[in-house]
Amino acid sequence: MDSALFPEGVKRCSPKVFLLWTLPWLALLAWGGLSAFLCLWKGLNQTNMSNIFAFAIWIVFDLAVIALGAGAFFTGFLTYVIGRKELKSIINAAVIIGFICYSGAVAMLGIDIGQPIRGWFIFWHANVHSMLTEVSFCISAYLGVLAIEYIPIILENRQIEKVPHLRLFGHNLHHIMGVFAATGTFLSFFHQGSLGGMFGVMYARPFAERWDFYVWPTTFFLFVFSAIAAGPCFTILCTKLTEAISRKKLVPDNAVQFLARLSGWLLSGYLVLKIIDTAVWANTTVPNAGLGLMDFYREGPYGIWMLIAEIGIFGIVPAVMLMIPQVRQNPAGLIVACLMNCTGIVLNRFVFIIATLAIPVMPFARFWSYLPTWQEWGIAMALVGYGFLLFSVSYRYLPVFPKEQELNPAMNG
Amino acid sequence: MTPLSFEWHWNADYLVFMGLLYVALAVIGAGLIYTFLKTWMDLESGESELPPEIESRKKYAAY
Repeated sequence: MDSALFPEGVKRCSPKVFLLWTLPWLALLAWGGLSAFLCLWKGLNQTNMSNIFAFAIWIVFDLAVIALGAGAFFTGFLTYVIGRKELKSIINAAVIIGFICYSGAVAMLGIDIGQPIRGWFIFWHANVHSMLTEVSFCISAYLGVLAIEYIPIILENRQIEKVPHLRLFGHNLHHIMGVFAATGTFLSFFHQGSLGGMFGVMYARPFAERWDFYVWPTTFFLFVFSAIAAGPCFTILCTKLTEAISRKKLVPDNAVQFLARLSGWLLSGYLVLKIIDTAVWANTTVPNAGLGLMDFYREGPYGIWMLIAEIGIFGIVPAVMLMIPQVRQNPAGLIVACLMNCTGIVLNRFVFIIATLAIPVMPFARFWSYLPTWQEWGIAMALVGYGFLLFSVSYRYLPVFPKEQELNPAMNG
Repeated sequence: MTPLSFEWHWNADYLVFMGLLYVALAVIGAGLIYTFLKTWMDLESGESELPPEIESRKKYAAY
């Protein structure tokens, strides 16, 4: 029925099977839609956020997907600015994943700010000394860049391409993609960094506070570093998941192996800096605040295991796995290492958001706990549904993997 | 915020922060305007009948 829209020379499942596949994701979107409606209609009292937990599950999801979506800017930088040609077979997927992550995060922020009708205040009445302002500016502008990078992929659809004007526009846009990729790298560097900087400047919360390098706390650089170490692994995971579901090989091994190796080295570099940073923090910042390291890990479920899990189990282990060629060339080893890398980054963002706010800062204060409501989960899970849906539609109708036909000669029509 | 806004201060903080943002937006805008103009000129010169294939797609086999 819709086969005329498929990329040339490839096969896709029947519309009925595709519709069945989309149902769970549509259900998640419906749950998110209902939750968003309630939050906009009745207000943020639909959530368990409070004056203590002004940042909650939505910000955890936001920061996690923005870090995982960093594969888009980093792969774009390597492809268009550095000129790594083998990545052209995966750059389309990276761009779409990035677009899903960023547009989902911005949509979620639209609910999180409580009054989206005043969302423009942060742009027009900007506080130029605020890390959060920098984040808002750069995320919004970078989402625009990602949309521009997505347009040529849409215009490559078999039917759209038949319209000469659109094909020519897509062709010209593709020609200067390096300019957009470089601008996107600049914007992404600063918003990834500012997300980290936002926590490092919390001088009243010694659990998050870090020492400054010029105007930026060390968390600024650590967030950038961790995002470019985890982003490519998330791109690999999404690609491998698509390969498993479609039962096709979609990306040549050289592209995946290059990203995995690079990710391993970047993760190692990040961990060296993270360990130094943690040691300096534990030996200077924490004692200067009149506390000991274990004071942060006494109450609630957030024990010292978090630090061990974040740096050791989900940091050093995947870094070593990704650096050993025999492990990353093994399909199961690659998936496990990428999953562990992504888990470590998500855990890092969780610790900086939830644990920072839960741990008391005054002697008379108590440990705070927080559990999201179903409305908060609904909006967060809608992002998952939206991601699966948009990537599935893109895979079905657009040449997301340009080497698909060549890599699967027997399977394609 | 622009230099015409009442909150604006003529100091380094505002110039660097807002300046970098406007430079990035200007580059994105200039890129889009260039693409629109080039497409329009290509159409005017009659190249629209058979627009060229995207260059990189010809080289897929070489990756």
